[in-house]
Amino acid sequence: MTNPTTPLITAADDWARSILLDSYTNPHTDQLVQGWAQVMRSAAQTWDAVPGGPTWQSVNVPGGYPFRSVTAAATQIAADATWWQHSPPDPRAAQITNLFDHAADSIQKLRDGVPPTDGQLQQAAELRAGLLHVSYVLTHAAATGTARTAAQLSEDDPARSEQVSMLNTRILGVEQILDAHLRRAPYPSVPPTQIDALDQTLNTLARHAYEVQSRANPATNLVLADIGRDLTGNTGRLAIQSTVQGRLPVGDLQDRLLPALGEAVQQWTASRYTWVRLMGPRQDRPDPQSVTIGNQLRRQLRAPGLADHPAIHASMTIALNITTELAVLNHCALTNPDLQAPGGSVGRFTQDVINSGPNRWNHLTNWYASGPAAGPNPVPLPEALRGHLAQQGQATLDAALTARSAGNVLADRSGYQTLALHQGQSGAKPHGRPEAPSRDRPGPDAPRIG
Amino acid sequence: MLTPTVEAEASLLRATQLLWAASLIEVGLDLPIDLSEVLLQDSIRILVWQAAALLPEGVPLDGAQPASPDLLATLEQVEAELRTRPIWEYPGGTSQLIVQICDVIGETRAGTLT
Repeated sequence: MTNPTTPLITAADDWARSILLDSYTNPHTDQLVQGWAQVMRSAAQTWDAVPGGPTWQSVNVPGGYPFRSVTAAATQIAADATWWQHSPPDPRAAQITNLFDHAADSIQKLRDGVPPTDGQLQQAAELRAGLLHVSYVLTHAAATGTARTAAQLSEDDPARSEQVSMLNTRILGVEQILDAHLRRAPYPSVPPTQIDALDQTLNTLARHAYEVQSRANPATNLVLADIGRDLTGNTGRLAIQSTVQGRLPVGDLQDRLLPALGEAVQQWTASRYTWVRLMGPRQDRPDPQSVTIGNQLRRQLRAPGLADHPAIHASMTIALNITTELAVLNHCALTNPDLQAPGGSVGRFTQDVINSGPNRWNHLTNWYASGPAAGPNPVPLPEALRGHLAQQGQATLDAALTARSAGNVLADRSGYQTLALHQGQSGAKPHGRPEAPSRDRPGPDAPRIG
Repeated sequence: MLTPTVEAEASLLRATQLLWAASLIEVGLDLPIDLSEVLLQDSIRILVWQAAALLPEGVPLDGAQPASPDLLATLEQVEAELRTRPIWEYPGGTSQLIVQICDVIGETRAGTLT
């Protein structure tokens, strides 16, 4: 049986994605919010058009009334944005509303009282799944638009920025409701502030990385290496933004922090390449929690306005510290004597290492004497390959440590500013620095005795 | 929830393989120059595993050839691939994946990745 609502919901999905894709550049957040609220109301009506009798609310048809609270919240949010009340809804959102209304008309031909056929149940299930998806995509677009607008207004109109920021927080709550209905498992809650959320996830990452390390397969180690690189790269991005805002001296960025971060990114890249080479053609899956944390961090690190937060330097310092811990774990994993990998991968990797390294002939003779590895089954790693992995682990750790040390430029600033505030100093010089370390007053890098 | 269809799983696999291929493309690592490319690829690398988690165990991630060596173009190809079937035919969790992909594309197009 052909589902008449399929083309309608598919077209609505296309419109919603189009709105989301340009929510990073669309200047009309006002229209987006008005249109979003309208679509939520329409989704609620279409959802309720599915007959509500017990025979219809079966295993496959998503149940409950997710749109009741969503509609109430969306309507209130749009009404509270009094300064946007006269804006017309985004025309694409109006298209979605039309499509939902047509879908409701179509499904209303099905009635309670007559036992539904399998085809009708399928139709109801597909419609509700589609409604949840489209509404979720559009809500995310509204959240993105309001977050961006709040960040843009923060300098020129801080009061309005705060109001839009509050709208954003409430829209994120709606997104969370829809997300929970889309997932079977619960989704992590939205914490109160961006910076708190980031710090919390960084802490979770550190705890989780320690826990997972003993059972981490190459794919999990690969994900952890990717997280290490992402944290390092984003620290660079935030540092650049901080310099643009005049909170971090250009010299500290260009001469110290960026070169160190750049080297760390290179080494994380090399480590992840090592893990890729240790994976077989039918790769094991990485630990799902590590992937979830990586994703969460990625989103949080890109939250609009994050770079403006007064505590961002402290969070960047925490990030560099945790990246160093990841590098320690990466080193441990690469030097683990029990590390095994599929024979074929080990064989090819070892051959390449021997070909490119010193003492080629000795290594080659020993390797061939022990019988080169092949096939998909896990085998221990030969000596030549172990040496290469240990070197890579050490190089990544050294680079992460250097980046962490370079991160002192962040700690210096926040420490100085805090000190200045405590001492009631006013008119602190832009890019003001603490006095240079001397014999009597050692700097933060100076060794402490006792 | 609905059972994923074979066609949608094949589409998701193709999208995942494209992400995997993009994750292996060599990009410049000179941070002051290449930061946006590095960050885009990092995002793609995380997306690989988000997508792979929706597939059955043991499927190969190799096997797709992106139409372009450009990371953004490949990501757009992935997003287009995930429009080829109605959403309810895909496994649970695909909506979240799509939203993340659209986020990265939107940020990259807007030049706000760095």
